This record gives sequence, structure tokens and C-alpha cells, in this order.
Amino acid sequence: MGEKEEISKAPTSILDQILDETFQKLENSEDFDSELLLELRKLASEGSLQNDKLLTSILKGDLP
Amino acid sequence: MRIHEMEICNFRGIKELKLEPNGKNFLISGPNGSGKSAIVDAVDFLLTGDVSRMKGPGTKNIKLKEHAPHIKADAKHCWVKAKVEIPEVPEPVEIKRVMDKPRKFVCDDKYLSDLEPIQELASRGQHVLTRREILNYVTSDAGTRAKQIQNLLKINEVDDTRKKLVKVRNTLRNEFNNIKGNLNTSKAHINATVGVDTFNEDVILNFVNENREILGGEVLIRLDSASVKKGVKSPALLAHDNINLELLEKDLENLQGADFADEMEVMRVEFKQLYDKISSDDSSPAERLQLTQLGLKLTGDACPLCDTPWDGDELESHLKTKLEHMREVESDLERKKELSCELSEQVKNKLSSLEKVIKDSSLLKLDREVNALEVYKEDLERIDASLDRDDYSGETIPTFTDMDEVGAKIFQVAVDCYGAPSPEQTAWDKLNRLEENLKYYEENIVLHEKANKALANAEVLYDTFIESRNQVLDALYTEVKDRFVELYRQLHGTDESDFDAVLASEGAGVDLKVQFHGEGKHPPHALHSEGHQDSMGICLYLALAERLTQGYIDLIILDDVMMSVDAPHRRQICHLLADFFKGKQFFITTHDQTWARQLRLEGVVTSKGLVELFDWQIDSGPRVNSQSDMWDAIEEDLTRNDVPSAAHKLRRGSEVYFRTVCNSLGAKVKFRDNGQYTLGDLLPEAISRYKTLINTAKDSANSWNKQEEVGRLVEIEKNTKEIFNRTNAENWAVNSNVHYNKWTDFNLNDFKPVLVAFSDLFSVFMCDDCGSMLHLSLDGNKEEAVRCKCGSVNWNLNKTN
Repeated sequence: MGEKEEISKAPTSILDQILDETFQKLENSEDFDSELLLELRKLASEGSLQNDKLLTSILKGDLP
Repeated sequence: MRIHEMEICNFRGIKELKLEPNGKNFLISGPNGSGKSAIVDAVDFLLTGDVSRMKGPGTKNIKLKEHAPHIKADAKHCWVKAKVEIPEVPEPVEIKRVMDKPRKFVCDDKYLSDLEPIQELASRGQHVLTRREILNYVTSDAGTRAKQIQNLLKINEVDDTRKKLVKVRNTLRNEFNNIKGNLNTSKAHINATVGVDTFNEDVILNFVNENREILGGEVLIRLDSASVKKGVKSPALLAHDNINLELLEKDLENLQGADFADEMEVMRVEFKQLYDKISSDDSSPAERLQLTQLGLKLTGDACPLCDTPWDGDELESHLKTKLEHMREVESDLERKKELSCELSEQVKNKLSSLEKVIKDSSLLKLDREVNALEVYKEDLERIDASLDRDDYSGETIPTFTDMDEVGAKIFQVAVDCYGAPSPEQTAWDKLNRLEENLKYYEENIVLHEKANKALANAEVLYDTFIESRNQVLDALYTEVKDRFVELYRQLHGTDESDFDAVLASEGAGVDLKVQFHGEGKHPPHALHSEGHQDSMGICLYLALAERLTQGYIDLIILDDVMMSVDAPHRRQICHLLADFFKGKQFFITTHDQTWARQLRLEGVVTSKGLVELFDWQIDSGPRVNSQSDMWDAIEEDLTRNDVPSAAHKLRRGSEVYFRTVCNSLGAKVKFRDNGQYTLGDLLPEAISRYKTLINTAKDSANSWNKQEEVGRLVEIEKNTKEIFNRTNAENWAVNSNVHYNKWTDFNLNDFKPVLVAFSDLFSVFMCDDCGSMLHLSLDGNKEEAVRCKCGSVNWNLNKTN
């Protein structure tokens, strides 16, 4: 069952690969806030990274 | 995913058609207009609910529901269905799509999750290659090629994300600059209260402590608005509308300072000169500088403005030289910016004092003076706004000419009304005002820090994204490039053994250059022939598709892609498809019967894995011949007693077959510059070569003392000798024309033994187990062995030393 679920996942797009790499680099960076990174990962997983207003608010720390 | 069975009904010129590829390679041949591409469209429709060929440039008025169904067919009766093999699912799964609801994918719900990634990949169109796309991949200019490859990779969404990150960064940068302006204003207010020109926290703290001392307060070691009046008491006579004469006097001095006016005028004049110099230059130097700096960031292998191709390094070097010539402009712009900041600070300082003087004058009911000062304030505010907007042109900064006289009057009336305040009152008033100033300053400090952090985060996010993008794409391009080079060398290794390529990201673009016979790397269409470009397109596509479909879609469709590839290289392509992509299922369409035969003879498709479409009629669609194997076709002729047709097919088929045999075994055929070889040219050489190779194999086996192998080879030789004798092939094929004419007089009984003999003759050159043609294996130029695909035949040709 587990194997089948693995296969049924949509293949990682190039954008997702780039975002994964971006977040990994930011995670390794001591200067980047980990909570902010968590918010960005969440935004990306929802496919909303291109929502510039939401992204601006997150970067400003305006969202709870 | 592989296609097991497929049925098409009333779709794109096909009335009814059932194909049975059984998960294997499948060939669809037929003349132009016979309906081959309709099968490709049907696969496209089945997987995506769309027909990509009906979209894009030049298809404005073409609509799926209107133009995809066959003539007069109802959309409900236009459908495509298939049984497909899916990884991890034991039985083929039936899928279907009907034209009246093209978005609805019909299949058993329990397989939907298995099919989802397949549909996602199919929607990217990464499994279909047409000749038009080959041209787009290879012969287009850098920008268009980049776009095509990016479309295939679906990385336009990468650039959309990049643009959003830039937008967010710019928004946060603007917010930061605005807050920075407010912070400077708040500092100017503090400077005005303290009576200094430059903001210095130590000086301000001293100012606070001096006044706190007067009021009996303790010394503060830290400056903040909450502590300024902490521990000190308000003088009892403090009233809200009191005027502090000392502060008023300081504000009036600030407004009257002649030295300051001179200093500001010096800055203004310098600013004006720079402004005039820059704005009078018709070449718009500031914009040019900005454009050149931006261009340098966007350099690739084409001009970012007009797409003219450039060598990447050359364009960068050109722009750097231009920038070098603009150093003076850059320096002027920087100085102008500095002067603008200083002027802005001074004007804000004046305005701060002016507001206080106007307030006090109002309390003193000096309406005439208030009006005059208000006019002056409006003038200064206009300059201040202009400086903030960065559109100040160096106009004269207004002065208040009667300030000495007006100031003296205001001060005198204030003294008359309120008398000299006590030192405690003055100290209290100063702290009061500073407290207000500091609150505003502290608010802006918080906002400034927040904006600075947000901007820093946006910049780090953007830079990291770009770094990651380049890293991921470079890794992808390197991987694809290596495979591309490997595949191309398989096709053209004999004439381009040193072939290499560059496939690399250039900002948002892709740079593709290929080695040309050791003469450096050039764009593919610069020096290579059209046929070589087609080969490159196929190899590049196969390398990309292999990387992208990732085992989800094993189906690759090659829609009439062999237009310009010559016959020997087509054979290499056959080997490439059969040997390098064993896990893939190819659907190949072609109108070229020679290429179709090659695919069959080289084992890319079997006799059951092909259909031939012909005689398309508007009401019935194409006729279908799925028995295109030569022997079946000959049998069909003979059932009609049509010996001449059967003989013609045998002769033509034999020519194609023995041409391939000669190529596979390395037989030496007399060269003909027209490339047209008759059976008389080919057959004797094929047989002679076979005999030589089996003799060499026997000698080799003897040298290794492998008597069992020797015995086996002798047995093979004996059998083949009998076949050769039976067909009397060497004599028989000397003059093909005579024999062809002779066949026309043959009856059925005369011809059948010839047919049996030729069938046996064909089998000599094929493996009994796997049915593939025997071929010569080389180690460099050294003949190593005669082998088949499955390894059952493996004649060692090398003797022991």
C-alpha cells in the first residue's frame, strides 16, 4: 500500500525542486528566522507563493 | 504508462479504429492525409482532454468540440478509449474520454490516484514530439529555443515566481525608503528642539540631563521618551497655552540664521548645476545608466531588449565598457542625491521651528505675522515635498526677508505677555517637547527596524531562490546534456566522434551550442546540416522526455520526425530506440515507407505492432491494413493468383532486407553514387560476408579449442549451404531485371518454391530465438563477434594469441 501511495504522488515539478532547494538553504542559514521559514514553506505547499500580498505580509511579520 | 489497446470513434477524420499495441512499440504509416496524426491527437485527447495541435499560433478559430469530432458526428459519439498498463496495477485499466464532456476522465475511481500524475505529465505535452517542435528545439534563436525548452520543462512558472519575488522585494524596498524618510524627519524635529544641526544621541542625552538637573531629576544614561520626564515634577504654573520664551527665541534664531541661508544656497547652486547638466543631456544619461546597469544583470546570449544574439561574455564586456564611460554620470548622480538629502534635512529643520513659531504667534494673536509665516511655511513645504518626491529641480529655496523684524516683534510681544519664564519652566517645556519628538522618533525606529528586516528577508529569499534556480537548472541541463551527447554520438559517432555540447542556463534562458568537428562550439543551425539538426532535435527531446516523464509515462510519440535524416542514420536511430529506450513504448507515425520497413527490419516494431492507413474518404475515414508484414502481403497477392505483385513485393522487400543485412554484417558492396542498390548488388555480398564470418568464427573456436562450438558452427554452415544452394541465390540474383521479367511469366506453382527458398534465406540472417537480425560487434575498428539481440547467437571472431 505504501509503495502504491508513493507512486501515485504527482512528480516533483522543477519549481518545487527549486523551492525545496531554496528552503533547505534558508534552513541552513543561521540568519534566517525559522518561524518565517515555516510560514513560507506553508505558503508554498498551498501553492500561494505567487500571492504577492500574502507573501509581503508574511515577510513583514504581519500575519499571526 | 503503456497503451495495451486503443479504440477511436468519430474523431479527427477517423470513423472507427481499433489498435492493439499490447504495450509494445507501434508504427502508424501511410501517405499524407491518411489520418496518422489523428491517432496522435486521439492519444493527446484521451490523456489531457485537449488536442494540443488545435491550440497555439494560427488556430484562433479552431474549437475542440466543433472541429475534433468526425464530420457530422455528434460529440456524444466522438470518443477515445484505451486499456493502459500502469505501474503497480496488475491488470490493464480502461480509460475513456468523450467529446461532449472533454474534461471528464472516465475510469474506475479506484485508479484515479494512479492516473493523476500521468495526466499531470501528459498535460505538459512532454510525451509527443513533432517535426515542428524539433525545429523549435534546435534551429530557433536562443530566446525562442529557451522558451520551447522551458515550455517542455514547464519552468515558465519558475519565472512567474521569480517576478513575484522581485515585486515583493520592490514593495518592501519602497516601504523601507518611506519609513527612512519619516525617521529623518523625526530626527530633524529633535535637532530643532535641541538646537543642533546633526543628530547625535549623546548630545541629546546631555541636553536631557541638563534640563533634568534644573528640575532636580537624576542623570539618565539611556535616551528614551518614557524616561525623559521620569522623576521630575511639572512646575506649578505650567499652563497649556503658555509660551516658553527661551524655546521661542531658539526657534526664531534657527529661522533667522544668515550663515545657514548662505550654506543652503551654496548647496542649492551646486545641486542646480548638476541637475541642469544631467537634464540638458538629450541622451538621457540617468536612464541610460540605469538601463545599462539593469542590462548587465540580465546578460545572456541575447540582448534582453531586442533579442539580438550575442555571445554571453561579449555582451557583458560591452556593457561594462559602457558603464566605464558613464562613471562621470554616475558620480554626478550620487553627488546630486547627497545634496538632495542635505537640503531635505535642512528644510525639515526649518519647518519644525516654523511650526512652533506660528503656534506661539497664534497664541499671541499676531494674525498678520501668522499669515506671512504660513505663506513662508507653504513655500518650504512645497520644496520639502519636491525633495521627498525626488523631482526637485534646484529652484531657489524661499527665505523670509523680514524675519529679523518679524521675529523681534513676536518675541517682544511674547515677553510683554508672559514675561521671562523661570529656568524650571523652560527646562520642563524643553523636556516636554523633546518627549514628544522622541516618541515619534521611537515609533519610526521600530518601523524602520521592521521594514529593514522585511526587506533583508525579501532580498535573502530572492537571492537564495535565484541561486537554487541556477543550481537545479544547471544540474538538470548537465544531466540532459550528457544524455543528449551520448545519444547523438550513437547516431553520428562515426563522423562526429568528438561531438560535445553546451546546455546551460543563462539567467532565464538556455544556451545550446554544439561541437562541430573540433572547430569549436556553435549554435546547432550554424554549421550542421538539416539532417544532423533533426538528429539533434530527436536526441535532445528524448533526453529531456526521459528525464521528465520519470517512469510515469513510458509512452513517447514521434510524429513524422524523420524528414531529413539519411538512411544510414535512420538505422542508427532504430538501434537507439530499440537499445537505449527498452523501457519505453514508442508510437511512431510516418509517411515514409522506407523508414517504416527499416523500423520493422531493425526490430523496433514487430509485424503485429503496425498499421498502415490509406485511401482516406470523407465519410468512412482511412482504410486500415494491419497486416503490413511483407510475407503476409505476398500471401494475400498469391491468394488472388497475382504472382507479379507478389514477386514485386519479394524483390523490393529483399532489397531493403539485404541492404540492412549488408550494413549489419559490414559487407563490402560496390559503391553507387546514386545510393540505389539492386538485389544483384546486395545479395551476393551478404552471402559472401556471412560465409567469411562463419569461417572466421570456426577458426576462432578452433584456436580456443572449443570443439563443441566448432561442431555447432559446422552444423549451421551445412544448413545454410543447403539453403544457399537451394535458392541458387548467387547466380539467380545476378541480373535482377531478367529475373523480375521472368517472374511475370511464373504461375503460382512456379513461384511458391522461390518464396519458400527466400523465406529460408531471410531466416539465415536472423536469430531463431529473438527474431532480431545478426549484427557485427566492433571493439573500435576490430571485429569482435557476430551477435543477435538476445545473445543466443554469439560467434567469437578473435583467435587466441
